[in-house]
Amino acid sequence: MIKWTKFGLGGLGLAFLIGLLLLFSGVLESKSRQPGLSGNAEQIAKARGLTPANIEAALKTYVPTGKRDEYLMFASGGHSGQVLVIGVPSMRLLKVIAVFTPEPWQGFGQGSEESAILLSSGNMTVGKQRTLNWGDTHHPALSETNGEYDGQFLFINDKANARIAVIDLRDFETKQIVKTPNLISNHGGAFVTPNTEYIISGSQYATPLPFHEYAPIEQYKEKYRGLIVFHKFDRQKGKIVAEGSFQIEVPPYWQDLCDPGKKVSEGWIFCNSFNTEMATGGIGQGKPPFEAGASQRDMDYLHVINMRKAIQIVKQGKAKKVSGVDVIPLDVAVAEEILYFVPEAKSPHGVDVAPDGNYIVISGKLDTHVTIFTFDRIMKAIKNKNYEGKDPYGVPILKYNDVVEAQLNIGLGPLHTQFDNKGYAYTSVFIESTVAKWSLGPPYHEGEKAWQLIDKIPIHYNVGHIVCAEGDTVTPDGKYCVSLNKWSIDRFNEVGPLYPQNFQLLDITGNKMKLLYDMPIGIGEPHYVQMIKADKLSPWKVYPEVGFNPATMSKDPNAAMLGKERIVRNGNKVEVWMTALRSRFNPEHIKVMEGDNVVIYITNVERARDATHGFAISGYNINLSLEPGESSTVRFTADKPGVYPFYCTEFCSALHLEMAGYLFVEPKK
Amino acid sequence: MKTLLSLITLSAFFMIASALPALAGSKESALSWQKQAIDTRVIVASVIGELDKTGDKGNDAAKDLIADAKMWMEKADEIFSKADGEMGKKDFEKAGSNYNMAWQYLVKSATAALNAKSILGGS
Repeated sequence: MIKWTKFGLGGLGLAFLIGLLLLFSGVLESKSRQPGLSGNAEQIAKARGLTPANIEAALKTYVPTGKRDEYLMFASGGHSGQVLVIGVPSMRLLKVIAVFTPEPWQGFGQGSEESAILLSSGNMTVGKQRTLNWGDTHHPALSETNGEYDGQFLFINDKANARIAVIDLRDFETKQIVKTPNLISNHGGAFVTPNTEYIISGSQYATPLPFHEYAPIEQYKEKYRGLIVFHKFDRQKGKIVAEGSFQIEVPPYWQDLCDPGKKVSEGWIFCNSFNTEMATGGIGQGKPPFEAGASQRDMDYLHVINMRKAIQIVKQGKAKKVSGVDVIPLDVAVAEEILYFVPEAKSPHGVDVAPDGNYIVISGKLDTHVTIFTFDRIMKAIKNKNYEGKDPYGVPILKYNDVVEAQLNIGLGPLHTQFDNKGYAYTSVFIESTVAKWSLGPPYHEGEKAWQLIDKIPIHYNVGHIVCAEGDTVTPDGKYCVSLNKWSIDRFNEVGPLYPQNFQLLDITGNKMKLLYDMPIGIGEPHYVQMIKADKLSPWKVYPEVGFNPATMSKDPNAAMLGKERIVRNGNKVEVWMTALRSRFNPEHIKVMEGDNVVIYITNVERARDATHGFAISGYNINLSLEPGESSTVRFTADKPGVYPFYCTEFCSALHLEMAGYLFVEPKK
Repeated sequence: MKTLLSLITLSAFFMIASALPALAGSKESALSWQKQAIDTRVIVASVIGELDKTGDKGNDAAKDLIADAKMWMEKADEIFSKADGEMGKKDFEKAGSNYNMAWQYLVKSATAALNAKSILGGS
């Protein structure tokens, strides 16, 4: 316990400090000022053992009821297969967006036909068809216009199965899941180009091309390959489209994160790799484990890809179709000069392009440096064909010394870098559990002020990614960073051997960083997060019209409407047009025969905000969430005779419990 | 101050590690990995030694991390001995790989030890 005497503060001193902090926060200027507030605050602070730093942090993060957060974070939900929406600075969890995993509250994959179709659209393309019901979400990417977040769409990858999902930020719902052809793991995704023409992802674990063609591990160098994937995005349709999508075959080096160029480097893509040793593991066979085998060389390769030229190559018909997708073969990529390598510190993780598009920051997990290349130098080296050699596949390797601008020793195990609005970079440092702040070079900082380590702050513990407010765009905001920590060890109440992750909010407004808040994340391991100014988002308050189908983002021609509820039998098919309104379903009785195929078109005809209704049928594993105006479809076979209540699963009104009905399933005679 | 010096020195060895020549499978490569592991071990051992002196101060989380750091150190020593044997047999490829592995274990040991120091320093 920290004692107040440590700070040399008596009661008066403490009261003065609290008063000062309140004054700066504007509280004392507010009309709601209460006499004696400082005294009360002092007592509370003392009773709770809060330090002055704690109080300052509380004042900077507390958002009173009814007030809004300045920023929203979109965090990958890790193993939960979902996306978390979190307010900053309050760190309040606002929503969990169902993406790759059935989610009962939102009725996602839990009975609505639309969500079942959506989930199954990302199924494996080979073998027995079964819906993949989990995802390993890693890197969310907000859509961009001119390198700025535009608040329209969010993309997220599923590393486990190489899928990309599209979320529409008008209703914060998943609209599309795409199984990437030829690929089975895509840790490095999703990343968008500055105008969201393409969503980029890179393979991780190399496989035969395509992955479902078998080749023994002994043929690793010959048959196994990586891919850099370019999903074409149609903003009007709000969907990834096949036409214009393509892939580039790359060596089996275990490609990792990518970052598209911006401003001067727009049109180029930069991707890391971390197994240029082409280690194949095999502890049981007496071979080094991957962790040793894949870290033997002192350098791996940054992949530098000329995306604009690659698009032309595809248009010229020089790609080949693999699983129906245009793939630029590796030899073509080399011959057409669209792929180059730059030596980078071994076992890298992050590659991050600075706001000006010129500086490219690399961090090697087993290094102590961040290394900064410049796009200018890379272009010059390519123009002069100034290579140190070629890799075994013929890819030109640029000379490290020709392209490196600076190297900065920031600590043990640097991973990822974000930027602020004052020319500083913030890098997560895994092994020593810190965040390092350092200065960029010209035009941000000149002379001795350039490339300096400014500050380090301990975090708790084992930081992975870091996010700062709009910190990977062309105009970062500064203000806040969040350290996304893998371990929490001793930060929270113990809840069994599976510990929560720990998001730590940092104040970066001053020269020195300050820790403001710890937020436990107990539903998965979030990897990357993006933080957008809240006023850039314009979500719907209710769906635009009654009968709106979120799957098609248009009015459903089959939607049930008020006054037109009905039940129609056609053979053994029973169709029900049902409405939901506080506090009743209409119809309330559905009578079918055992074995009938039942289809319920159900519409929430409410227009009031937050008047959501659920629709659950006991025993049939069905639960829908119907937001105001939403129409959805339930389709099932009435294979269980008996009487089954259906009811609203949202506490929608005082007579919520009465919002119910019966499904009567008469046994076959 | 001592911790700071340890960190600086540890950083130096990481820097040395990242500058090693790529001579996989050769005697020189194995010797490089061996030296790196030996040098790194000295530093990690000194951090653990400091933790032994200060003790866990009754902090369970720090106690667990110190135990974890020591466990990885033991694993490192174990595989280091194995690598020594392989050096004796002039199996430089395996020796280099296992010295590398020993170094990886030392990195894990350092991670745990530094987190323990962080906890103790902040309590």
